Amino acid sequence: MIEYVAGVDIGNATTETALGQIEDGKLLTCVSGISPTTGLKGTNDNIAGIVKSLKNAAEKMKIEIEAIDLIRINEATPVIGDFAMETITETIITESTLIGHNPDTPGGTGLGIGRTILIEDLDKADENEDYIVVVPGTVDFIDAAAAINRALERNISIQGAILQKDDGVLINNRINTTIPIVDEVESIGRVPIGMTSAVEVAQPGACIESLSNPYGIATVFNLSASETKQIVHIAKALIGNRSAVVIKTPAGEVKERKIPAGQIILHSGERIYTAEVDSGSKEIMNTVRKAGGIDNVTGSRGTNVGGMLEKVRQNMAKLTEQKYNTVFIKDIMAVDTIVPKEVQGNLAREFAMEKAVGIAAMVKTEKLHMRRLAAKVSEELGIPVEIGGVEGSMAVRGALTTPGTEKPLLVLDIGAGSTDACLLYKNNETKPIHLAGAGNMVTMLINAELGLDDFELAEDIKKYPLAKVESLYHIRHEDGSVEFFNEAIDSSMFARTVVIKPSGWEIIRSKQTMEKIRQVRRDAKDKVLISNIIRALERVSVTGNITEFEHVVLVGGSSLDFELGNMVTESLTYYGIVSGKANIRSTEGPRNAVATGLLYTYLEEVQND
Amino acid sequence: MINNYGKPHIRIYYNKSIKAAEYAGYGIEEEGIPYELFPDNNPESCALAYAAESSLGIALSIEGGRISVFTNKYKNEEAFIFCESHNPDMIRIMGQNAARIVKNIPLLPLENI
Repeated sequence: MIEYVAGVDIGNATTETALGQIEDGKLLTCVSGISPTTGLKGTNDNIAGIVKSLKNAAEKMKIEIEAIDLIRINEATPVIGDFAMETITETIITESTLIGHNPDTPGGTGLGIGRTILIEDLDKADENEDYIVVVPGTVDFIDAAAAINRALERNISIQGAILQKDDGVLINNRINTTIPIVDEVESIGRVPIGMTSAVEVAQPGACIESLSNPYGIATVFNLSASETKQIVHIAKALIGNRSAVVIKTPAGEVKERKIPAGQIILHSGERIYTAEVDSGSKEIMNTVRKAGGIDNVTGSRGTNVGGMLEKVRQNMAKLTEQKYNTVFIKDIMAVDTIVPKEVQGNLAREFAMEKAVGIAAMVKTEKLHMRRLAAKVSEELGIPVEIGGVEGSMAVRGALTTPGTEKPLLVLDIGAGSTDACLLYKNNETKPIHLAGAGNMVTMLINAELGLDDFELAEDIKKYPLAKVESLYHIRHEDGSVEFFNEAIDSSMFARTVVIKPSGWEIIRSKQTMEKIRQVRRDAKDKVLISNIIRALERVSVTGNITEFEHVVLVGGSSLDFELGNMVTESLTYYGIVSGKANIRSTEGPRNAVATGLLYTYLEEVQND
Repeated sequence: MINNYGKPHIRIYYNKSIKAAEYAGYGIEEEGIPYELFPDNNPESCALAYAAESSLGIALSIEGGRISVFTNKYKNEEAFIFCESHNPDMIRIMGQNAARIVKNIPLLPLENI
């Protein structure tokens, strides 16, 4: 007798179906269906997506959906993840002492030292002093250049200029001397007048040398050894700039403040382990390793990390409709990062690179309401629905249909919130584990390190390759290959780095080069995903030595990532492990693993009966 | 064929307002590229021809309030970018963008003016 059985996997993003035509326990044909998941996983809203996915498969099988005899859905992985970032250093300017930015076109070159003077006060300037002229945006560049020339004729020593508007080159071209001119200083009203200051502009293609060197600043301002120690953060913030201004005010200082980030407290049985957040991710992860099985993670009260971890628990409680006091964080992952943060008290949107720690947390929930959902689907479609098995175990059964694999086999499913692994032993026993840190954390790192402030753009950068628009008719892809077009590329994309999405190109409005963006993207994947894969292998390993594994297979939507498969293969080859993307039933690629697992375990059950 | 126009520069052809042409020139100057101003009754066709034949391959035309940037890199015989404006800041940005095409760096948005 021929029967039709469908395995349906309701994922966070997609609902996948494996529909099999079975005769006397033998699989005759198998087709796949896919549809976006509707509503939050585990809720009745999923039904629309399930029906769509089933229809998609039924059409390929050329049957009506009503002809299906049995639907098997999975027991969802009872974990859910969240993440946050904690900056642990902060650069603060008390009073205005520093302008270090990279206007596209500063004027002149060299280093000028003098007292700041407003352009309208030049008439009252003293012959025996050196001056740096401050030009607000209300003054036209022609008038400003004329005023400077008049002052020069009166033997006033003008050593440099600070402008609000983008007029550096224009003024430089109209004055009878060459001085360094820094322009595009937005908050020019906050530049203190009458104070000693230094302006430096380097040649095109070069970086400033004096003001990015603590001893250079010490020479300019005649600083003592202890004062030089204080200004080291100014120098640090100016490294790599083409132009900069440093102004010395009596009470002014720039300092790097360490934000008390707090302690992470790991509860493991009777024991408690603590790690200081500001000592970085290495220390935190070592403590996580030492703690072994974690019952809960909290942060010290009244600190940022304490608040952050509590927020994760609250969110998770709300999402899973559980009581707050029954939600526990079972794993955390910490990653060090450097993020550009606007310097507090800045004058021209200066950024300083600050140290930060990204933390992902994973919460085990009670079983999602899959049974309730199964009953509802059955009621709606009039087809029996059963819970086939746990997601991880089903995924590994599905992954085993990949040609070239054998037991023992480890499957990895890198989701948005958590990394799930499941080991299938030779005797068909399975060992699932769940780790904090996955796709969303990679997106967070890309967003923070590139200073994008746009999570969706960061998500696209993570998912798709980059290209640079090199002319009106061609782009250079990040691998160096060139693609030509018959129609001109839109002028808004001219000379920009773009993300090549299937739906079109997206401009990255950042001054970072394509190479830098690519590096940040790959580093983020390496820091989170590759480290987590190694961590997963260590966790499931009996000996703690990951070389004992032979086959590691990637499944799930995230393994469709255009470079992750190769990155994993590269890093695991080092340990002698065969790894790569799954190819479910030789046709489906890394998709459909759980749905296929649900169908195949049904076949096994029938055959065993 | 490249004509001999002397030292590489961007040309601005204008029919009415020399002031507007000067604003565009300031934009080009700020980007560090040489430029020259030319009055003409038919600035768009002059600019198109100059863009096609000159070494930098870029020209601007200012015809009343219409500012157009022509480039030989654009195969269509029309302006690559254009705007209608009498706002000096806007005209200056059009000049800057003409220079930025030569420098092959991203263009400045006009929306922020």
